[in-house]
Amino acid sequence: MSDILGALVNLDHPGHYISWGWFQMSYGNFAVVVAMVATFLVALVAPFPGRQKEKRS
Amino acid sequence: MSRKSFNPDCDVREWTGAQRPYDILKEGAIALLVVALLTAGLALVFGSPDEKQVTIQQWSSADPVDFAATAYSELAGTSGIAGYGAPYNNASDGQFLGVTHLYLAKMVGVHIPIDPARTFVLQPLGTLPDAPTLRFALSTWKNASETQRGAWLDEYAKASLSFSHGHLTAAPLSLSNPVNELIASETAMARSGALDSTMGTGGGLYTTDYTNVLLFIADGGWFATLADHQHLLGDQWGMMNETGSYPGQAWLWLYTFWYQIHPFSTSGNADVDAWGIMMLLTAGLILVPYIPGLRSIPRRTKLYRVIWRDHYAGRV
Repeated sequence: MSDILGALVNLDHPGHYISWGWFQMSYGNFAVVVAMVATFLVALVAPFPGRQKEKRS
Repeated sequence: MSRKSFNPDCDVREWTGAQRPYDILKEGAIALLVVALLTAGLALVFGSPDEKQVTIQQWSSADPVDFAATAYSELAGTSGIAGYGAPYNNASDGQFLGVTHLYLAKMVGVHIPIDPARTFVLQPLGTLPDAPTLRFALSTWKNASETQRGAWLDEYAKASLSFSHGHLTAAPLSLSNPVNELIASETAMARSGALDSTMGTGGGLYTTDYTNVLLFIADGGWFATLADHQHLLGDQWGMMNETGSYPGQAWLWLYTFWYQIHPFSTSGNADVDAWGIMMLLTAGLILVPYIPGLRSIPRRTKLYRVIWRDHYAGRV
């Protein structure tokens, strides 16, 4: 049962890290930060739902 | 009578334009549904960290000499906890806040009193049944003067520690010295798993209070090695990391950032200083509407014109 419900992508192995001088960040955290920034930018420029319908009418 | 001048950051003109209905409950319900589906979907695809808890038994089995050295430091009163100060004891003043010399932990006081020798060594050993040699060693230690105890501890510190065939030995050591029996018994107790249950339960059958176990494990070197391998140490931005390859608490980047730069990276007050800075910045964030200049940033950057571009273009 646990095999069926187990994660499809296994992340339970040693992490990898971006290192730049004293700065360090895991690839996992980096992916989340990129996703957050991308979501923010999309939210800025994406049209409001229903606006096209409003314009046509 | 003078009229107050209009301040675009604080004052709002009355809206006289067109109005339209807006269903905020509908939007909230949709957002909740989307987030719930995303959470369930991501959990199904990526799972979650399942790191097994660290125990004293694991520690004493993986590195018995480090364990014995830590038990010795608790008995001798030279461990990290023994010299920590509040909230465990009065051994030091602890960290002070910035340039104020306010010792915050000391101000709160000792409210989790811990005598390391008694809590981590003597009390657990006293629970072992059918151990006449250990009983004699405990009794010898208890009845000895501070000077005598110090001489025994010095002798043990100079002895060479080794571990083979499941037994810890310190040599050379005089026969009357009870420290070897105490530390060897503690090590054997730990390796059997009995020390976890004795120190963890604190006399009760069920407990969620693992303070003593955690403090004891943290005093050793083995635990820090585990944290180092998982990139969880303070100087590894560990506060924002998770075990394995999972994303962690990325939002704590600013908190852990302070630990990486001078003077905090070399300061003995880094914990309380980082906390103080974050409290100051949090207060600034809460008070943004009252801080001139800062509160004008949204108005001056005009980002809202991008979001409501149709309105400002006169299309709506």
